[in-house]
Amino acid sequence: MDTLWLVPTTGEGAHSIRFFTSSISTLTSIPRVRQGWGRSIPTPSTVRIWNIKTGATINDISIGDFCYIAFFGIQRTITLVVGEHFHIYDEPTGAQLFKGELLPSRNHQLGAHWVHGESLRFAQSFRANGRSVINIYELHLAPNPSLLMVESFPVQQHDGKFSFSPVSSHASFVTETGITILDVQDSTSLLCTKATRPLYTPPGRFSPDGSFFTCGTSENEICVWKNTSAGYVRWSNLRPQLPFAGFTVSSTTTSTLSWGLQGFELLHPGDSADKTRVATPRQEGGVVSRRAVVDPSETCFCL
Amino acid sequence: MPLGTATDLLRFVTEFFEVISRSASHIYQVALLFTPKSSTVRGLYGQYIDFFESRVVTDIPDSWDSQTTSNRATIEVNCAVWSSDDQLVAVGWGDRVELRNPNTLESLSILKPPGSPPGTVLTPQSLAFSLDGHALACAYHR
Repeated sequence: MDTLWLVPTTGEGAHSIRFFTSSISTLTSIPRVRQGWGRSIPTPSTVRIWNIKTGATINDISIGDFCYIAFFGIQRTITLVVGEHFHIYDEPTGAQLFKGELLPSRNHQLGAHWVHGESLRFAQSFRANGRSVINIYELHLAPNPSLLMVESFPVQQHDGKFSFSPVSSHASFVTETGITILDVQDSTSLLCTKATRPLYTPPGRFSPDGSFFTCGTSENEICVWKNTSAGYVRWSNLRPQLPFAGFTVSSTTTSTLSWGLQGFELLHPGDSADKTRVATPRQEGGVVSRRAVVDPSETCFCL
Repeated sequence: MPLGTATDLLRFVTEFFEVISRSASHIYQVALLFTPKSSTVRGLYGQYIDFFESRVVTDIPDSWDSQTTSNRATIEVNCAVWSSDDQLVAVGWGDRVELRNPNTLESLSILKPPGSPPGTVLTPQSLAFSLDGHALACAYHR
């Protein structure tokens, strides 16, 4: 049953929101988020909020277990995903406003969350009887919390991690060996790639403006496809120098930031494959990297 | 100015920002020298490359590659996020959260972490800018 509901819990203004999902990993680009169930030892977390201009601390919120931030700033609230739950706090006071529950299920995935006006929206994929349904839910925060399904799109069933672009209404399903992108409005297939060996690292990600789709590979590349009227066409391959564990695309989609065990990099789509270039410069036959390699504590150009 | 030229100039500046900021003469001695062959900037200003000072070069690229700025850390980077207007990036690594310039990755400020119990280290695991860009939130865990 594809159910999502909102029920009051103890205390005035306190509410519980429950919905089924099998994976919260597609909600975030953080690769090391622990999955919701099967955990044993709680890991206390602290969420600190700073004023960017002054650097002053606005608030600290203590959480009893591992959490990550799903939303921040809508109506001065912050939404945290904590294991199988998500909590909504008032930013200035740190008071908890809502507590929701994510129920595990193998048939549901959350593919995206975004702000829609003064509300939060979630895209959820649900599989049953050889079909998939993509449902869009809307959560109103004020004056009274309410949650409703605002759209539903039946599509052909696909395996893989689900992600969704609310701008283009395109959905992707990524496995290690293939990527499928659909237009959920009419189920049109916009991209279908198959690899002969495990290559992709699910999930894929749509750029914030819906104009690109990106997916990491096991070969330390980030493949970029451009959304065109003829479907998704291969646009660029970003090749970080450093092994990356995660990446995020800027809202203008002109840059990508990747990070991992050895550092982080700023990437721009280029028009050719990356080449490692080392040349001999003018000074004493030394070796120079064409680009600056920056230590976190020091900025220098190596000549 | 055609958009392609402007884009090419932006790539030129961001690619060689550090060396040019150290000395403007590096524009002619280093930056132009390593600018890809197909670059508009090289086409316009390649004649000014200071070949007298430079004895290089092999493997001049044909075109811009995908990478402009690399930042190596000795500690694992756990998370990073763009501000909604792309004017800042926040990076969580080690036990610190830093605000950095989105073009150069230059560190702009280090934000004070919450206190941790003795013998424990809090590590940033999740970052988010507020929608209006006034605040940054970080989830630390032990």
